[in-house]
Amino acid sequence: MNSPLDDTQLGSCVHCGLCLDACPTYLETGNEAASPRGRIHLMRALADRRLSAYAPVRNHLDSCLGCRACEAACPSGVPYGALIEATRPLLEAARPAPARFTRRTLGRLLSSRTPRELGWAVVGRAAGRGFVDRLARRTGSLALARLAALDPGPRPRLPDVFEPPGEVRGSAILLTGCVSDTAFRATTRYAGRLLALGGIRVTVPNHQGCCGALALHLGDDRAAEHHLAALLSATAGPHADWIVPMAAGCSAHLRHAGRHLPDNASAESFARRVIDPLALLAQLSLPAPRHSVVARVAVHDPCHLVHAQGVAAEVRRLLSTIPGVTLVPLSESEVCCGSAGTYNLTEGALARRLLARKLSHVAASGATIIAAPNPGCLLQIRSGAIRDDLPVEVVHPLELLGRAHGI
Amino acid sequence: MAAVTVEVEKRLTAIVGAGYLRHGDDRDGVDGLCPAWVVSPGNAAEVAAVLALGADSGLAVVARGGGAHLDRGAPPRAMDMVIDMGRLHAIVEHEPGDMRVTVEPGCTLGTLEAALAPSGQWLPLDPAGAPDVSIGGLIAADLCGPLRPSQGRVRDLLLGLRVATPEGRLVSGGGKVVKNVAGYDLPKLHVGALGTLGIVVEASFRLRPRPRSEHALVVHTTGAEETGRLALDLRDCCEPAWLEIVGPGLDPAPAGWALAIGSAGHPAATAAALAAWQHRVRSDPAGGEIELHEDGGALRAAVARAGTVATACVLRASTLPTQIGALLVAIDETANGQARLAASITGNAHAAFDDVAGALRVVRTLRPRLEGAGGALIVERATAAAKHVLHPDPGIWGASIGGLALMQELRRMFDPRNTLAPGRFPGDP
Amino acid sequence: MTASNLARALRAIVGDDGVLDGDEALLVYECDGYVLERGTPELVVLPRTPEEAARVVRLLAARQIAFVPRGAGTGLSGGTLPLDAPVMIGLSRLKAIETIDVRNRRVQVQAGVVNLNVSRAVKDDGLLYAPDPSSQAACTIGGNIAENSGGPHTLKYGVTVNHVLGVEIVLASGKVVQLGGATEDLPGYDLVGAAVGSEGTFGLITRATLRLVRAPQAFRTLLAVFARVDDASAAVSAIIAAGLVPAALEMMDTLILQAVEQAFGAGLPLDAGAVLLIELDGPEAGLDDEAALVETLCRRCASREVRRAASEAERALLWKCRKRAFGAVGRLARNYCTQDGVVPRTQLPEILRRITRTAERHRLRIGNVFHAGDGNIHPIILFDERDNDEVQRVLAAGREILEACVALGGSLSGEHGIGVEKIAQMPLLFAPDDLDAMLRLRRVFDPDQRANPHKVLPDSKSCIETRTPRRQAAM
Repeated sequence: MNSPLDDTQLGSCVHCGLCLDACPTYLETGNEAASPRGRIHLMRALADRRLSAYAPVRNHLDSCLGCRACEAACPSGVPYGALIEATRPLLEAARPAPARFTRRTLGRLLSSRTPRELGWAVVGRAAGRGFVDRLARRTGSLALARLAALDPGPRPRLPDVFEPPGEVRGSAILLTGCVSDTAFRATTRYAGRLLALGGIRVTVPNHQGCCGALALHLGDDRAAEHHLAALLSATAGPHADWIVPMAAGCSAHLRHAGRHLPDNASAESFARRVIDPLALLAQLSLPAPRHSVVARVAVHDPCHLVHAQGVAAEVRRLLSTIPGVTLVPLSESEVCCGSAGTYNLTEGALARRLLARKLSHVAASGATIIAAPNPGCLLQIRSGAIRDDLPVEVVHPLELLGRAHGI
Repeated sequence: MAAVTVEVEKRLTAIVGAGYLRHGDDRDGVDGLCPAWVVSPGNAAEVAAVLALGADSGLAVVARGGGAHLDRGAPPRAMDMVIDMGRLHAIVEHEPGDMRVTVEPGCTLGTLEAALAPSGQWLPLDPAGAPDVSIGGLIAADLCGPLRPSQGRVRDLLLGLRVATPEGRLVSGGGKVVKNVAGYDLPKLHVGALGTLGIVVEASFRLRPRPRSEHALVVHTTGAEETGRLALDLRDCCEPAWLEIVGPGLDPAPAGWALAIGSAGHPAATAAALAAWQHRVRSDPAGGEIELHEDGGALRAAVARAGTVATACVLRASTLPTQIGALLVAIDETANGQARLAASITGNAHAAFDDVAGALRVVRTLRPRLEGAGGALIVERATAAAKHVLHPDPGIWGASIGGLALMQELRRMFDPRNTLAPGRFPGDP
Repeated sequence: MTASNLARALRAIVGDDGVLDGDEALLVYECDGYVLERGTPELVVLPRTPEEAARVVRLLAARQIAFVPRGAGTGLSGGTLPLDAPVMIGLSRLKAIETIDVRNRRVQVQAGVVNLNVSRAVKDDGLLYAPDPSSQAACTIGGNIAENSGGPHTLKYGVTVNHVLGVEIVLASGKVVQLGGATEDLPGYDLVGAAVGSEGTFGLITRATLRLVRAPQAFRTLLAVFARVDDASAAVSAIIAAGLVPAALEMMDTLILQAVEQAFGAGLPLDAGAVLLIELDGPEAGLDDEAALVETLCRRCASREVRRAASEAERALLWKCRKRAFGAVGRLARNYCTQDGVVPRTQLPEILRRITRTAERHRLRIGNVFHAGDGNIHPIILFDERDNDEVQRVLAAGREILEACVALGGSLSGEHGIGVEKIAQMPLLFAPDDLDAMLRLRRVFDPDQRANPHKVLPDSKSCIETRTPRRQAAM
């Protein structure tokens, strides 16, 4: 097996250790092998064939959330995200067939529309219902809390186009995402309406499919390429100034479309136009919000927003325009909540520890609302808050903004 | 015996020359002991040779700088020879651009200060009676004064040392640069060691720029407890260069309690600090009359002496800054008002006694309480008669010293024959 | 006792996941921030409390097993390389800040607490922990104490030893000793002062009481641009001679400016010979006056431009450039290694000239980014590890520079420590009698030399002749 790991990229790590304390799994375990520096050490050992990808090696690398907090901390500019992405297929190849099959199936189920909709047909009946919420709080079951944390049905229909009420200042394509489209479509509608309010003509292409980030996270690089190529053709219609994915994981991934599909002529230009809806809203001149939201609001910073795209201040700036909102700090706001795509499904134990860590900071913040600008984090933190019966509402900032603008 | 004595004298004379050896007399007494010889070596090699000779001959040796602080520590078990360091008084090297000075132990702070003044630099250590204090004494007794909260102590300013050992070696540690982590920090061990680990023959210090201006306030207050609280409030209001609490009967507080607070640096900054403190004092019920001192340095020198002059003994207490007021009250009450008290904002208090009975009562009553809370209460200095009353029970040093076994081992390792002031240091046999 | 027996006994103390013995788990502990030499321990133990750490050491003492302590592994002199030490004790789980006493300005922390977290914990109270090594976001207080760490602000605030009041140390015998404490002026020898900077050779430090200082009320951060390094050195001298004590006085030369500008785009001048980053702090009153004086002095020394940071964001950007300069250098060359020598401040121009000559003689590129106010140089030598001839020239150049520092009256290390890296050069600086005194001190704490053996003091096993420099970061 030839290593696809880039020697120059691996060599750019000078082993200084500045990434350690930025890494959520190192914070929790104190184990060097569960740190970015340790994982790069392992990747290097794989590349140099000092080690093979046997189970404990895989465990350490699997336990990486892919949150890329280490990239923000690294002075040498080590492209950790690219390195771990390149390593994951090696791990898949070394994994025993049953486990490999399970992971691949998980990725395909989540990123394919039909199975997701079939699942929703069952789950959606209980989603967000009061009795489920009460049962979750009483039993302390995280599974039930997850169910209660989903938006209740029926889901709104999205229009094909959100037309701006006034002058058109630009155009955007809204990418609805997989899980977010199924479970949090109301938030997507807020995004469309808010952008339109800011003068952006927003189109929502049909049959857009998955962006491939999930598959890549699970080490299925071939499926990831396939998804990305399909998405590029699905959005190849009339030109739009912006590509707006609803999930931070998707936008972080799509900003590197050029790297993932080097032979695709349109990938680079596509990648340059990708932007998170909140980052785009922050650039627009919205009218002053008409309704107040009286609350102490703390912002959780999703990994793929703050570390991968540097978006954090924008969210706070937008929320501070809402009358009645008092922003309060949240300790370790930029440390992963443990959701991390499919991480909460594949690495349950560590994910639960990170959730507990996050919830302890949430409780200590004194906030009445936690604003979580990413569907995965929203689901994770809201589930935890329900299970632990915390007196706090966990919402997407787009929803808060939507309420304040009365749309 | 006589033969041994003659042999030692002959060899000492051979090392230092006849003019630099004499028999001890009343002027040379330490804690009631009188040395057989007083030797004045003329350079580092002679110090090492004399000390080695003493060690080889089984003598007890005490090093002496200015001689002002020899009454510190427990009384030595024996003292056959005093090594007087007065002839090693050179300022070896002062490089203003490096803000560093290398100096011999017999040099006094006053001489050093005068030499440094033209460059606008100083060694910001200001113990009581500073001009006459020798550098050797400064290091051995770990002397400091009011400036310690802002400028640090000897340990914070000492860069390197050269030390003569009882084996006759000259050992160097540290260096002449302001930042240095090569090897263990041997110099720190000699600070406050009262000459029990070797005799310092050369020391290098980092220097500081002399502040452009220094102004101070004296605030008269009602009692120790409130003064302690007000002192911390003033510190938190604006960082002082120094802050001392002074008890009744002492300059500058002849009538009651007072605190003296100084600011040093840019004139605009000192003016702002004084204004802020005055404002703060006026809004505080504990604050009384305020005196402004344009010459902050002169006031500081006076304050440095507060609580350190006594005809019997001086006690030194260590506690937390927040406890300083309560500590002063406790000492005052236990001593029936007979102690002269002063304290630094760092949580260190001095109590001067003319009657050893009061001191004995304070040590017996308050030492267990202070030690129990992680502090200390020691007899810093005392006359021979007072030491006789205070030592060995309750003792000069106290009962609870962290790492005492390590200190004893250190002493054995560096002074294997127990040559240097045997009995003086905590844990000494 | 077999390794698996030992592991079982240790697991009974620290829990199942607290003992690492798999090849892959140990591999990542084979080096710290100094990567030229490597070696894995047989076991890594991660105690969860200081009490567990003491039990671990007692267990090892009973079996006469040597150990090496490790904090975050950001050290730059190989202090945590196991040499004849089968067990590594990692302090990464001792993360509790146990007490914060704002009014007395003290904190008690466990040894694994990250440096920056101390300052973060007291920030709202207007206090900070002054020593700020550039690795402060990751390095631990225990590691700082072991190395007596410095940082850019030591010129005014001093180094770690000036801020440590007490330590709890587990001796290799397993005995737990409290040295110093929360109050000042405790009787006896200054064993705290000796233990700070002992590089883990006195035992395992598990707790510390630290002094806090008030956070400065105001800052003035200036960037002075010079055509020539000599002019920048002259400005350093002029500032010191004027009686100013800047909080920081840092120099970066052309090569470093190029790297930093490429990485952070702060608008630094690429054609300058050197820049000085000068920070004044303290009460607001008089600070503008001092900043103006600094500006005048720099211009008098031929500075062509002096910029002042106009906002906290600008200040942060300048500091980012300085603190992350080493990492940025990684963008100029495949590999680099750095030295940590010290010279008297007045010898800065001379040592910089000698470094230039060394670079020319050995056909190497050497950049300089360093604590000019302290005379603490960090020449960074760029190279490619695949070129063996160049590697040999790098080694020779590094030795030459350190020897020049000592010859000019300086020292081998200002803040990175001796570890294994500079152990062979210790005799350049210290005579046999000096080293013997240090050895005696070590034996006071650790008579059998079971705590971090073969470090700091040269012995027959500590000097490894063959060395291959790879990349290395330093702050």
